[in-house]
Amino acid sequence: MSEAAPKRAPIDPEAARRIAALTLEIQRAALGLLSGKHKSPHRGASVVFVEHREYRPGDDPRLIDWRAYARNDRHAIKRFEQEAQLSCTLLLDASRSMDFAADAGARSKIEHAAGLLAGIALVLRKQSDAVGLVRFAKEIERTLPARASVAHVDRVLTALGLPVTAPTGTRVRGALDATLDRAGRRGLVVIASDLLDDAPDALAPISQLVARGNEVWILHVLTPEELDLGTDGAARYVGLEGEAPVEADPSAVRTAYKREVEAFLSRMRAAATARGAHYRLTRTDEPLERPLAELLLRGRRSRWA
Amino acid sequence: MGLGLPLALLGLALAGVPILAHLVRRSDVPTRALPTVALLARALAESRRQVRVVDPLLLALRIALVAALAIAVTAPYSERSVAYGTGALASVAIVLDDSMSMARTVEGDGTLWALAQSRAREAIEALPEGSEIAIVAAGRPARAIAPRTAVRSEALTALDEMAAPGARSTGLADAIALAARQLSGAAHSDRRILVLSDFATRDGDDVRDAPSGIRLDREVLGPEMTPNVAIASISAAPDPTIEGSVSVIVAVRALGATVDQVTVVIAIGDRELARADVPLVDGGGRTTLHVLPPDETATSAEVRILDTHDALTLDDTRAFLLRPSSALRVLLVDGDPRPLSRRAVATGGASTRFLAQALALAPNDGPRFVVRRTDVETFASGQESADVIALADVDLTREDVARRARAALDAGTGLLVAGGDHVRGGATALAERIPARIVTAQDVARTGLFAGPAALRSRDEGLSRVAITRALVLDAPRPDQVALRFDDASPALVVDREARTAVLALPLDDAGSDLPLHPGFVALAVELFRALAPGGSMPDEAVSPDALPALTVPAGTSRVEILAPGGGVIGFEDDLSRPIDLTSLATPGAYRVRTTDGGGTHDLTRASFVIAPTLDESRLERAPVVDAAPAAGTDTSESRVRTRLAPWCFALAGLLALAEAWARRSRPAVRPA
Repeated sequence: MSEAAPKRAPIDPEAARRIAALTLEIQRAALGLLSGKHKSPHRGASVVFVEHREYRPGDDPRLIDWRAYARNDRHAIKRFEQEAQLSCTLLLDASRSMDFAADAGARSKIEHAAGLLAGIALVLRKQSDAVGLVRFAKEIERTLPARASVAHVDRVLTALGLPVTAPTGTRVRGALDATLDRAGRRGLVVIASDLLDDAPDALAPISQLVARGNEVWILHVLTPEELDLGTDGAARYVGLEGEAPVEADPSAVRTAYKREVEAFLSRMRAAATARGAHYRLTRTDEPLERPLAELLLRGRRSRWA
Repeated sequence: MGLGLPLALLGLALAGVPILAHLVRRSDVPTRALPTVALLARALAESRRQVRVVDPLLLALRIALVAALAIAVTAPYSERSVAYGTGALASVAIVLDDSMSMARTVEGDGTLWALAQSRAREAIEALPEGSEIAIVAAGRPARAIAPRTAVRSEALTALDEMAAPGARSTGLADAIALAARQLSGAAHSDRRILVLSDFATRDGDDVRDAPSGIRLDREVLGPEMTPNVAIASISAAPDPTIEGSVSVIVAVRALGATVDQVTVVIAIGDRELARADVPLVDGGGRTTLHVLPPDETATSAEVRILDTHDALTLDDTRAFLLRPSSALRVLLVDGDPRPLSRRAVATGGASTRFLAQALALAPNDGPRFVVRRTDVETFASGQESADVIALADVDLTREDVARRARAALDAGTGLLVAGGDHVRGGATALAERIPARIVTAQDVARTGLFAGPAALRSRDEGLSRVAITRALVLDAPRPDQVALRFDDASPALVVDREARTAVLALPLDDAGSDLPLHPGFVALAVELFRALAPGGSMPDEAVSPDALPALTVPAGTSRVEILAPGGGVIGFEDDLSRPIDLTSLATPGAYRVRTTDGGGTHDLTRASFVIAPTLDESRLERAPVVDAAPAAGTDTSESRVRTRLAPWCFALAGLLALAEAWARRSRPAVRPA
């Protein structure tokens, strides 16, 4: 795959500036190799007290809390939070169906998805967290391991902005399996995809990722036209991934279509949440900041499943 | 079915437009990319089955819509045969010829009359409800059988009740004029006269032109010419050689028939009285038969042609009267005492010569006169009866004359007293029986006779120039009985119609005036004597129905019965003082008249009459005027009415457009690509 220059920056500078002001708060503790801003299940050298624990041989005697010994006549050591570096793996669906925009000039799904992932990458870069990338379609197109260097994040951003070249459809499971191999434990996995994958077990690996302590976010990217079939007037609708075309008059079929879409969304949401992932539908016509803000300030849990 | 603009049928090619549009539609619709097309396909999976049905239905509707519009442009019409008219409301007068010629039979079709009735019924029933219909009979005299009515049943009932043709002759022109009058003020602008006739008439020219604003439809019934043998005339007179017998001269005509000889019989009922073979030369023949009526009660007999087997039987039989002549018997009493010469006897005597001549010239539109003359002495001593007695220049002071005249008046005889040298003023023996008092006789120098209140005639005919030198001076107690007056308004002729008496101030010869020398004298004399005659006199000769005079019955008659040839009785009771109109009678044959008065019921012998057709009516040959008309037996006024179907086509197109819109809306607008 060629490293062609992106048609446009994955995220516009103004959005990037606003996103940079945000702080990624990961609800679950992240486990990183380097000391970072995120809580770590490992007790470390931070100043944030967590708990007392019975002294066991081998523990650092400097950690013994003498005051607690004085009160309880038992040796206990103080445990402090250890701030860890977050390892985040971004999964970008670069299948043909993602190269679709509602209108000419509008943001395509892959642009929207790349923008969201770039926003996350920028925040993580500011926090010196490691960011990796898996760009996939039916096959894995490109992978970048999670690293925290600025240069690496720039490479991630560059890879996010690449145009769609794959003529094929989507195979989400393959991407998740690859992530499962690379992501390790207690990291963050963010998937941006339209999830147009007919495979019934496309999201099955999420269970394993979650089981390993990863926090999995699914950003389900769809255009408004995909959600409500767009403008009236009979048209010949062609799929982008080799589906059989159909002729339809949206005004006549909109209700049934929206019912099908709703069922599809419900199915995806259920599949994600059942496996412990967080699910968020994002339309390409909504500002990037909104899902990013919700993502980064997830304490509100407004639209997250 | 037909098309007003067949070339516009090419527009049907436009019906292919929906097909083409249907075929090219797939490439017409824009192509849109949709990643979730699989969801769309699933959403439409159920609808596709409907598409398979709706799409062809929609296509069929569109083809039908275009075809309906294309056909509508071709001005389609349905054509149906209408027995008469255009299928629209109309005012129609149907003229049915019920003359005798319509009674002829047509092989396989019955009589022409039956055909005419059937055709008239057909025409009436073909007219839409609300049309106005009048029925006029064209046999003379023309009669309105059914006045113009919008009730069809009334017209049909009148049609069904029309009598079969009798002895009437054809009067199409009068009938058409009557029909036109029936249509005056008609409700509908489409006014028509339908003439149903065989047009066997000599006055065909009269039916050539239609009345203004009215369409004249002539339908010719029957063949152009039908051979016919007919009795042309019968002349019956007492046979002087055998007392009580009658000589009957029978004339037979073969009109278009190649018959050499026919046999005629004279019969009363089933009893044959005489028979003879009549050879026909140049289409005609004549024979004289002598019959002796079996009894005195027989008043009429029939002459019949045997075995003619022609198409018209009504003219194969003709009745005649056996009784003595019904002509009015006039007795002229000449008061001049001079003996009559042979020539004077022949001409009626000196004082009555002009009157006798005038009565001999009486037209046959009423009773004729049998004139006899006598002198005063004979009259006074005789018993001779008469219908009217004229006392001309008779001395009225003679008691024997007065007694004789009173006796005659009592017996129902009319009386005329005329002036003369022997008539003097003063009291007369008949003063109480005559309508004017004779004041005196004087020489005068007057000019002109003028109509009085009881005028006999409205026409002058020279009476206003009569030069008068001697006249009676009359005193009329009732001015309304003055029929003629002098220039000074004094009475010249006074007539009492009820008593049937009259007084004429002038002599009946040229001694006191030049009245007998004026043409009006004949008319005056005829009318005066007919007015003085007792009622009920009818022509001796057979007459056609239209020439039948009105029947006048004697005063005091309370009921009149007319015994028709077939045995039917027609009674009259109301207003018998006025002449009875007999124009409704048309059956040929002898009619008897029976009157009822205070003295009981008795036959009015002189009122018997015979109805017979004219010879022209036996001539079954179509008039040349109808040569231009379509062939006989065709329904010339049957028309094919076109009903425009374009509005229905447009209406159908509208419905199809609605259906197409419905199908388009219900169609999921999805097709497998």
